[in-house]
Amino acid sequence: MLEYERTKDRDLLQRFRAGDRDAFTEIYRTHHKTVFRFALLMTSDSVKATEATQDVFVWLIHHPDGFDSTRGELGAFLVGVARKFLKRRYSEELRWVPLDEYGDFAASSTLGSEASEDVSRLRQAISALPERYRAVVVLCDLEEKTYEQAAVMVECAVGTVRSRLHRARALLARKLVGKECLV
Amino acid sequence: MSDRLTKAMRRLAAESAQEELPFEIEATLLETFDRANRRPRAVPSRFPWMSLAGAVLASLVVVAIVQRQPYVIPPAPPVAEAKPVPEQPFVPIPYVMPLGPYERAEVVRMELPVSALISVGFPVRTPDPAALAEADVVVGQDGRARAVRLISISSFN
Repeated sequence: MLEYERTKDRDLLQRFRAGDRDAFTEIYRTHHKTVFRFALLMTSDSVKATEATQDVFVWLIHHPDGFDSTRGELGAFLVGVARKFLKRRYSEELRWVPLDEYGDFAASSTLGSEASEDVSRLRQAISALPERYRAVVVLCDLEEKTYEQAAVMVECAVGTVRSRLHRARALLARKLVGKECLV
Repeated sequence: MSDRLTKAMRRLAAESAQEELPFEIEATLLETFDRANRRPRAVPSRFPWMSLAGAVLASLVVVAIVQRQPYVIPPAPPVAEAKPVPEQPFVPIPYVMPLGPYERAEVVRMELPVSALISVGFPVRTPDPAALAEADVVVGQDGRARAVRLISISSFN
């Protein structure tokens, strides 16, 4: 992230904390896509992703001092908040929803049949990964974050991100190899 | 990662990038923001010494009122009455192996909730389900209760 973006975020946050509506709008418009994409890739469900994104910004409204700008970037912080909301939601859903119904996979791919199947299988395989592995695959392989950025978002060491990613890729390969595709 | 997997990853990322949040979310969030910021904030008083003086005055009035009233010793809370029950025989607890002929046992006097006695089949009639019963319990070598003898019931209601 460029220095001027950080400075801009800091300035926006100061104004937002002072009650400036425009500053909040600007923060939302700058960061909502990152949060939404993360939630969408984590859940494979646009409704859940929308709700999670809304929850994150509602949380920010009620906790304007929750973010410490000296400890990282606002975008990464908001993705971390989204991850916590999704984890909580997932653990609540596990009580009620059978696993095979989990994830209302969006099969609405606009690609050709083979490519579409690949994407659909990949989405299912990612959704079936344990949360800690899913998060690093989403951040590093799909969102193309650096290991350092992913480490901030999932609140762990860079080495842990690397090892989780390695393990996640191996799990994905194992899941997909039985489905005669991709690997 | 294989080439096909990498391509599928890219396609998935591209697909997710096309998805957009509904526009209403922003409006809803702004409403939430407005509501959160509409709360009245504490306005600093122009004369802070006035509120302090008011508080002191109010506490003096309260002290004066309290001192005028004679001190009355509050009545003691009602003491729970123990209703003596005639001594009863030990009642074996069902579904527990009886004591062996050479097994040692101990009799322990303890207070038990009436509900526990009822659950082991003791016919206790009390209107207070929270009442405590004093009972002798036969405890075997393995620490399991084998039989109970009711001594008295204390009701706090």
